[in-house]
Amino acid sequence: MRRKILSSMILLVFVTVLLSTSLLTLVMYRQLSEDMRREMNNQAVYIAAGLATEGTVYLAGIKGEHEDSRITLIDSAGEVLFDNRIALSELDNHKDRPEVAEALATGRGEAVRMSETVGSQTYYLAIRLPDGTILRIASTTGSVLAALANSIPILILIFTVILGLAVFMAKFQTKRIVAPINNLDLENPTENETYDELSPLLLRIYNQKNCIDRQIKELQQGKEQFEKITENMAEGLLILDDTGGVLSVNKSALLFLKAKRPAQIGRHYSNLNRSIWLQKVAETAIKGQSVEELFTSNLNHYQLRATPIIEDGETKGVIILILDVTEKQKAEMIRREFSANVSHELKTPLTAISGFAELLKNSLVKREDIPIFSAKIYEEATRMIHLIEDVIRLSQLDEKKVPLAMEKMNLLEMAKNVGVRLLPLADQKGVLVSVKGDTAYIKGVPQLIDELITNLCDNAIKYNQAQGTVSIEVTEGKEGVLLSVADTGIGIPVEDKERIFERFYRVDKSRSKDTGGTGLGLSIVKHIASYHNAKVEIESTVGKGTKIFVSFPKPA
Amino acid sequence: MRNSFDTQLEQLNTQLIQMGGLVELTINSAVKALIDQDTEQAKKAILAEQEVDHKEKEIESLCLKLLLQQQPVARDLRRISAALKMITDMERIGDQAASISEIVLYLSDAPYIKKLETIPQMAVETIKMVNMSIDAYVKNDLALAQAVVAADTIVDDMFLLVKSELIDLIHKDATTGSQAMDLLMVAKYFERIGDHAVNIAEWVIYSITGIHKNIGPDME
Repeated sequence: MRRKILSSMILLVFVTVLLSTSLLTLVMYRQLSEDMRREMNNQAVYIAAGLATEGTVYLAGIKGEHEDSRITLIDSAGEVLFDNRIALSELDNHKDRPEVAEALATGRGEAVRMSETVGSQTYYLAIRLPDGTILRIASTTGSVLAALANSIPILILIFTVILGLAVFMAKFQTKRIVAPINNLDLENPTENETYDELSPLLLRIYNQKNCIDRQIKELQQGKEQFEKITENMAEGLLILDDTGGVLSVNKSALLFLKAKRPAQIGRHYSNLNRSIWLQKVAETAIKGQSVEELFTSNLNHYQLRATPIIEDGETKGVIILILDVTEKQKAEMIRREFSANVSHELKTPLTAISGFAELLKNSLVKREDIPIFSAKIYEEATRMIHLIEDVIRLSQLDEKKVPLAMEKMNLLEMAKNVGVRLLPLADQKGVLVSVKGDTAYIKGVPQLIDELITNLCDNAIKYNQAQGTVSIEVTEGKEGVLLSVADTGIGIPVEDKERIFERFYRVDKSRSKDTGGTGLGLSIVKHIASYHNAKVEIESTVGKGTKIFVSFPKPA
Repeated sequence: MRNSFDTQLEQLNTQLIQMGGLVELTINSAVKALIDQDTEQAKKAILAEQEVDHKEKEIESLCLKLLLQQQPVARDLRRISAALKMITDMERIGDQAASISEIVLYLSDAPYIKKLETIPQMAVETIKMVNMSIDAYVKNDLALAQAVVAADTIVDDMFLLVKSELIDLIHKDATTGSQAMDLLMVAKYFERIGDHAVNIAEWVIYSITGIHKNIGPDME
């Protein structure tokens, strides 16, 4: 803008100076030649008067006087009688000179002749004197062109001065014009006080700015909403473009991929994690195929599901969902193991039953032995029923679907009942059972608590030594009620401590048959405890005995 | 033109990272195969090594294309030439891992003469070094690259330990000699993998700083 104003200003100055100088020169020149002619006329009148009074002698006197002009006297025949510049011998007849011829005819003649050297011209004025001779006066001046040429230096000087001035003015003016535009507050376009001509523009900017602000806000909100939703997803979410650049990645995905949030959007996913499984899934999806794969990294299992986003038959991007299925896999494994174990445990008594029954069916049993075989079948069947009851109880506890109500109850009384009930078994093993402690109340399902204590005591008696003791104690503390069952039995090795609550786990595999149990006792204890928000802890020394604590929270 | 150059550089970066992932897979499988005497994993490692070779060729031609067509200078030139050198070392790591797997296949019929102790530790250390060197490239992390160079002595010391253990074993029972030699080879391969990881790390350092241990400061 500044440059444009400056250049047009310079052009204007140039044209103006050139035009005005040339016109001025022309006008001045005309004025000058007019003056000269008048002066020559006067001179002619003087000389004519001089000649009239003094005769040709007068001419000799003016020889030096009129150096500017050339004075010639010519007779009527054209012969030169006098010339103040050139010797007479050099001059020829002047009769046919236009001004002389004119003067001879009309009494007065004028002519302009360009001289041999360009750039000057000569004016001739001839008058016929009363005696018939012709007086001619000639004066040489510069031509118009010469006058113009003469004025060029001054023209340049004027031009330079004015140009300097113009540049200065142009700069100054441009600055003044531009300043309000530069100082426009585009944040608030309508509040500016500036040229009226700018108002439509400012209004338009104002409208567009509002529109852009609104759109940015909408986009921002959309983005924030999207991020808020995806950030809190438990599943890992990874969105890629069609070249594998990361467009979005949430917190869970970063955690699963063990990566940091990328500094910039659009970097290749390999920068997050270079595992082959991710590559495989991502590349397949980029090619336009959905994939679902299971992968194991260290001890964790992940399920990856990649879906291409296809528009007009072209893959525009890929969505990858990463799920941590470690827990699920583990539960799945436990379930598989459990059903395998149950089947095995059920098969053992069933094989026995089936064997005895077959013998009976084929009448291979002596009549007097039938009661023994029937008793064995009954025994095994009872064992199976116990096992199935235990399995059902466990699955109920697992699902937290116990069809019994919680109520307030006396834990000590319940422990005493169990002690009495298990007396026959204890006597049989020669073990002394004692129950003592404070009267303490807890909230729970009586049938379940009864089963918990029974299972603990049962174990304590079964895995005891002859003449050993089992002491059940109930103590009420500040934080809750503590039930402890201590025995003087075989104890549990350290490496098995963690595992004894697992289903079907037995420390001493060889003794499982003669003690009878189902292998689910302690697992049930643990489940019942957790159903009542109680904690189970275990202290044990091999060969000396085991003490199991169950701490119940105080009833609300 | 510049834009396509940047795209190609990013592509080179991606390919290198993916090759790194492949190399890691190869060595991880080889180690699993070795420790569990798992022939499936050994075969997997040998297959992955072929992919590593393939990837090397691909990256090599990309590097040459970049050098010839774009005539990079300064940092870009360093990055490309470092990549060109790095892939050679990565490919060598893949080879060594495959060689270990071949020994595992060969030894799979008989149990090991002794419970492997130092060799798995070596394996863990070298895997760590390879991981770190590739991470250093991915993250442009000078400190991490320097850590790899420093870690080499650990693996070297472990190799000497394995060697003396095996010598003791042969002293006690000469019949173990044949397998002891194979195990020594395995240990040597791990030691070499460690060296290649150091090479990679040195090229990463060169790409970042312009200084390589063996060639002096870069003329820039």
